[in-house]
Amino acid sequence: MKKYRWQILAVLLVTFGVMLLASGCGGGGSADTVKVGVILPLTGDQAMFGTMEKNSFEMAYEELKAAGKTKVGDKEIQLLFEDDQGKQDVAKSATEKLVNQNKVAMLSGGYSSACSNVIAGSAQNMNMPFLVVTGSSDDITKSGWQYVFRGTAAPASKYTVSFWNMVDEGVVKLNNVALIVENTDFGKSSADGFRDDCAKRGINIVFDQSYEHGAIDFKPMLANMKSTNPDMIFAVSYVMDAAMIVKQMKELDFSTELFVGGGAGYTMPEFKDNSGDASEYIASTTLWVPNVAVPGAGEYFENYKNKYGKEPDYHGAQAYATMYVIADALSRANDFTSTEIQKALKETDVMTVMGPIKFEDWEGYTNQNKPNTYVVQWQKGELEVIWPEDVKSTDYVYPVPKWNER
Amino acid sequence: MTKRNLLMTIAFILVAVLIPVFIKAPYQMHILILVIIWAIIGTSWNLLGGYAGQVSFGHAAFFGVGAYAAGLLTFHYGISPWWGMLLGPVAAAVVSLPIGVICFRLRGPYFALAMLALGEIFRIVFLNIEAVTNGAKGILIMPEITSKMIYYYIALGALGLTLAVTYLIVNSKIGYYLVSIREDQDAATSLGIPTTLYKNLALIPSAFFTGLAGAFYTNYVAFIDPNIVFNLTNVSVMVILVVMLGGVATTWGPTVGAGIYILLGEVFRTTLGSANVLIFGVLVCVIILFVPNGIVGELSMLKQLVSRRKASVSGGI
Repeated sequence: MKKYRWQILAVLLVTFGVMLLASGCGGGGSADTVKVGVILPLTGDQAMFGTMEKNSFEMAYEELKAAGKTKVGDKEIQLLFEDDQGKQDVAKSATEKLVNQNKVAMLSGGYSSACSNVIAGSAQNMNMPFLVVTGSSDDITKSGWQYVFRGTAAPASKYTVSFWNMVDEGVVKLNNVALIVENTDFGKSSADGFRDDCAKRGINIVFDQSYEHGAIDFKPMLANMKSTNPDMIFAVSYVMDAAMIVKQMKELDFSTELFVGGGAGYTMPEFKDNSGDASEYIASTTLWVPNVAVPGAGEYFENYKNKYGKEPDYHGAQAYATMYVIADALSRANDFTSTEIQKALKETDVMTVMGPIKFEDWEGYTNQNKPNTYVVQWQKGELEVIWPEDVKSTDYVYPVPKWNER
Repeated sequence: MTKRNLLMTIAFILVAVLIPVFIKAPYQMHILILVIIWAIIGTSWNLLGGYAGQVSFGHAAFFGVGAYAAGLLTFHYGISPWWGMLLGPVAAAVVSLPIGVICFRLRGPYFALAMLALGEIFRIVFLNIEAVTNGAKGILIMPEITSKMIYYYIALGALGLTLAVTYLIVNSKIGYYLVSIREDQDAATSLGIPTTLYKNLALIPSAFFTGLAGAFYTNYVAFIDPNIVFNLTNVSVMVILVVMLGGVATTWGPTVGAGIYILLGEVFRTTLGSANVLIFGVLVCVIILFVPNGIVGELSMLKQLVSRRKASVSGGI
């Protein structure tokens, strides 16, 4: 080993040298393509979501290609994926590379709020159209940035629109609610929106606490909450925490009339797997479900499952729908300068698996699609849509039976 | 400084100043700016960890305080975050004082452990005092300057200042005291060196310049949240890797280390797809195995190697 170590080192150095040169020559490219840069977390702890979105982008691209829709004018759309590792300075590097080195016509992607914020800021600075896929921080479309668009993702404080509709229709009656959220941008923004909505309707918040993402023991918090005797719990958590919370509620025999999750963890198939029968009757807000009455939604779900062997959730649908929005906007753009693409995006009015997408200015938001939200509930191990009334797949169960009466 | 070293330094400064004249592409400029940010943090860490031998696992605390000093000025008072370049370093130095005063009186791993805790404490505190810091939602600023060249020269100026101050400290009486403390604290004490005082004299500038890098980071990247700037692995541990790679207790080591670390990381990310982090980790292991004293630290060995090669070739003929 010792004898060869310098040879090994030399080989390594030469390899890296070649790679360095290769990456430096990444620019240019042929004149008959119009490039779209997509920045997603493909490694790191958000890779599970990033990979699902990348797969969905590619699936949508292949379908569009088969239909001849990737040819816009005399040019072919080309997707360039970049990994942001879930880190925001890497996201900035990726943005700089795509815009200045690869000369993309527009940007898309953005999973975490932090990375989406950085990409959006840089894109606006360089007048580069950026279509957000998932990043949900309210600020992204509240900064008045003309080049930043958000179609398939709702601002975090608007995930609950459908649920409040359920309350306003008198279906759910609330006096005292408890609120627990994870201490992240998404959790905090959701909580802010929820508090405002409660205040408007005169609903008391009897318990309001955030917890560190990745906590294990929720029992002290749940025991405190139980003593405040809430009618309903609203919780925002990722998968592992979500399963832990409902399991420990069952162990404490702590029942409420309703438990509503704020998207993220509570709709994932892993949530059901990890929490077992404790997931029964847990409701959640969501942006998309496969059995919703929108054309193409079910087909997307089935095709994805067949192709990649896993079930997609709303994150995948966001990416899939975004690809269709991009193809539509580029097909309407007069040329591929950033101002023309910006104009085309602004005029978008297209039907996708996420419902209709339009970029409008409302309530202080700029270029923000008015989101379609749904309320879902786990019933007999299946995620069923219970609200809005016209797209429901089954009836709601409310108030839910107590743990010891099931 | 020998004549040769002086020439090398002048050449390096000339190259660094002239780079933007030749490289105008914003992407390459961006990478260079990141290199400079890490070079500043590395050089600061090196003063404390390399020369004085006081290993810190929590430089993220100083980095984050500097970053938030700049961010909060804009967030609360609407003052340009560039003023944070003045406030940030001072705030970081103030934060470092009590830690040094308490921990440096003790022997053993207390300073390292206290710093590890400090970084995490700051992260959790900044996450939770939302009224002041906006918590996990972070602080988003809209930068006034868009030209990369301006950022480059500001960062380069900050790095120059950091390197110059570190060089002066290391080559003054303080520097010799620090090395003596690192090598044998008992001997240093018996010679009458007030060890606690001198360790603090290394910590304060180290925190100061790390805070400077943090404040610049806010200005440049334009978004910060506590999980990013107080991150244990992505800031505190990364700076140690940068210094180890370049060469501990060498003037140019951290700068060289930052250059290699950032450039290779970016090359891997853009060429290797999903395996990039894994391969990067393997590479770091390989470098630590082959050049344990860092690139700059092993320069003489590398030179020897080259000359030996030549000798053996000529001998073989």
